[in-house]
Amino acid sequence: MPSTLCAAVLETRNYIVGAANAASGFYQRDADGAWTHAGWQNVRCSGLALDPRDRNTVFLACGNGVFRSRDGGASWRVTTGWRVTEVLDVALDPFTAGSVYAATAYGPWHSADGGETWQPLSAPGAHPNTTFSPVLIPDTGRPGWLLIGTEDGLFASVDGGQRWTPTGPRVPIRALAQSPHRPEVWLAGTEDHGILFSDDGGVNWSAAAEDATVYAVAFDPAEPLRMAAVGFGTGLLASEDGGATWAKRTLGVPAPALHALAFDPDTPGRLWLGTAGAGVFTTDDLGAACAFAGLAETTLYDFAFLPA
Amino acid sequence: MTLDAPIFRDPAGSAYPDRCAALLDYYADREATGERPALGYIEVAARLVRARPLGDVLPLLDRLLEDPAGDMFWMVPMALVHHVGQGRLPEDVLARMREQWRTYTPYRGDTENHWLKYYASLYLMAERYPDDPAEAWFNGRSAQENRAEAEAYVAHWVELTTTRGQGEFDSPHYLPFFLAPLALLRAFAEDPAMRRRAAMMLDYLIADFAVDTLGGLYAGAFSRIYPEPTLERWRNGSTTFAWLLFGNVPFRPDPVNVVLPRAGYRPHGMAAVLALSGYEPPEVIRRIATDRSTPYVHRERKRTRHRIRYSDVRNAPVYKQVAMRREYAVGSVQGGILQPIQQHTWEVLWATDDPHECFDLLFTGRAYADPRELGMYFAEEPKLLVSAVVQHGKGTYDKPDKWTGASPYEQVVQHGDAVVALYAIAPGTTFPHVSGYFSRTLRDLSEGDSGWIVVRGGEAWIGYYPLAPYEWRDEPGGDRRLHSPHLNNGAVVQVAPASDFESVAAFRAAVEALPLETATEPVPSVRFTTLAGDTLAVTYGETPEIDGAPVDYDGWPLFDGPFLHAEPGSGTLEMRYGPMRRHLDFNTLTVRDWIETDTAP
Repeated sequence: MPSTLCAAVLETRNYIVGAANAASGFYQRDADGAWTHAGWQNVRCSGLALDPRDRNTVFLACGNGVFRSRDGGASWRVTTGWRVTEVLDVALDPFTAGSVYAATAYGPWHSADGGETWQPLSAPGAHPNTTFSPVLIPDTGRPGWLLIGTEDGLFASVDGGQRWTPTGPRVPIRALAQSPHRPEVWLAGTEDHGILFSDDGGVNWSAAAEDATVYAVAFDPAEPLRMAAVGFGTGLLASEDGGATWAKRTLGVPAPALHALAFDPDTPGRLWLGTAGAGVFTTDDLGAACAFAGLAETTLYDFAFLPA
Repeated sequence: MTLDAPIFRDPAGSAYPDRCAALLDYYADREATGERPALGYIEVAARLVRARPLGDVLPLLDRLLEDPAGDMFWMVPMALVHHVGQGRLPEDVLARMREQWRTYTPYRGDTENHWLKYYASLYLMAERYPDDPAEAWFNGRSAQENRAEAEAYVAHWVELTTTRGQGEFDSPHYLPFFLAPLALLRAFAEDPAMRRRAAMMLDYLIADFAVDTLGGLYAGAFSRIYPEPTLERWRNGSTTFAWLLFGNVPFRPDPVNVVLPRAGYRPHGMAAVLALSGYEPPEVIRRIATDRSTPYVHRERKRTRHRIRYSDVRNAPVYKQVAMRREYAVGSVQGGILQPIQQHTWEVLWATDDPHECFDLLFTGRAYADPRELGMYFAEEPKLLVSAVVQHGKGTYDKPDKWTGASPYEQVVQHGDAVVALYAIAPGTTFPHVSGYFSRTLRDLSEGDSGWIVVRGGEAWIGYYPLAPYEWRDEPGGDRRLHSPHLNNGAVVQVAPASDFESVAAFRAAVEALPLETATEPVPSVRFTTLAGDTLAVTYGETPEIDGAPVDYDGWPLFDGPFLHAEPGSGTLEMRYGPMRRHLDFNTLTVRDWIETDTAP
């Protein structure tokens, strides 16, 4: 039985708040290639996290707050109240069960009880540019160590988000990923400043594709040296030498912007691409050829695989 | 009183309760004609409260329940009918409606009016079903949780609005979507404190509207307005509320008033919610709205909506004022990006016998579209936002000839009947030009060697002095656009009542005699002495001076004028008309009315 691809759909074409919009939110791809929607019709979903300890637990980062399902998407609870809004990313602590982080347009939040209650974390700074946080990732190798991306660069915390230290260039961060092979290797996607690369646990960063806008970055779980990135007007940026060089691939994707990206854990080398407005595509050759894979006219913001 | 004519002229002396009844009868008697808006929950509610036969209600309600849509725009009318229907609708129908609060998943939205609708409706439904568990609600939260969350948000919004100003302020289009949820709470909240808070906020927002209305039209500067009803002001839903509340404008039914033809989106229809709520505006507000016998200047402090990036502050202050008189209103905010997409920064609007026939205003604007403007207020990636906003129902956002929206390169200073609008447009920005809207209803326009354009609108003389060369362009419907492509630019505007000058020549001679010095380099600047004898010195990017003193923006009041007064941070509002006084204190949720014995009426 293969892994199941899950998708966070921000919106569908002609979306208007308050209109009879087509379903967005949480989707799962069935074995036959069809997509099944679950839960809310319209939540402006920016990110999702699947609980490796409980395959029925899903967290969504949404405009309305952090959503949680404990039954595989059959029912949902908005876990946050009115103070939490414009949630852009959600992540689970790899070391502590029930520890959940949310990155929002107003700063990071944390739940220690699986989303039952939430507390605001200190923001990396007081300026709105440092509270605006599109992405947050707990380090898989160091307990309590977090990396958060803001409009004003990256910040690291060694104490679970109580204090933050700037790291890397002060540029707008849009995406983050940590290597599953070498935890000290990180990628960050930026607005207009390309890809940032660190191979020392986020202490030092170098840049590649330096004027590109990058909305998603990913490591190939099957090939330690293979990485990819997508963004606005960027096409597919791929590296097969551990980030030393990046090649821009021309895609047959009918959208100038790609926002979601994932390597398929079951098919080595296969990439799933989520576009802004044109649905899902796959490529088995790092972008030389792409095939439409459903969810036409949707804008996808995130992918995650539910293990077999 | 019946509203069966296409345009209903309110008979003199009609009372608010009569207008409420007439409005509800109008909606109760509407029939499906194929015209928009289609019959909806408003008609259902009106038929129920006006005791129409259930046979006229249930088929329509049944059809509506088949296809819930509209998010928070669905919630208000749904909660309305559910509450109005208690004791009137069969229990199985009420149960079916209740079930939709479990199965339909409304989005909370991303604006202030969205949130108030969402939480006011959720509060009432949670209050009605206080013991329903989490699994009985669309959001997986129990009635107790939903009620507590909704109550906390409403209290927060009231506190923020009455201390720092409204964020989605003075919107002719969205005012109805604030008044309707408040009317719902006023009508149906069981908690006396919530009911009182809602009634007081109705007073607050209606007074805020009353002081800025001229003949039922919302006048001045606005946070949000759509392009067409910027020019055809009566099309905004606030006009129907003015008719209902003040009786100062003819009623026109909303099938021809629809701005955004979407199911359930009923800005005019929201007046029916107020009409059946039991709320009645205090006499002091009605008089503030309708008495234009004495000219006045009124100032208000508002705030921007939350800025999430690209700003040093979360909410920037907005300094707003209007100079109002029987013949016209001149209103403004200070310019800059105070609201995304739909800001209206300044205007002259003149009175007319029938506002439904006219496009009676003049203003300048600076078309601007930029990802950073949108990124300041919306969380999506800036490069995706322009196309998204255009797709999301704001189709003119990226058009160079649009009439609405803010520009970061605009500074406006108003002093009474005079306005100075300056522009220092950065090279390379979108749409590098300034536009002046000259309405089709203006007459006697003349240009002269002095540089002053003089024109008459209704009973107002308007002098307009452009700082840079321009050309005239024809607009649809006979309007004219003053188009000026120069980056450093601006205008000086002086307005006066027609009765002050016996002819256009006399007015022209008067404005041409006013001391005026202008420059466009290195930045635009103006030194101008108004007809009232006050001297404005304005240099782009600097604090303006009036009669040698810098404008005291730090001391700008929350409300101040002859009719309304509130200090920032106070949580209070005092209304005044002649000897009448009404004091709202949101800190204690108390209202005090009295007659000031030493004040002349």
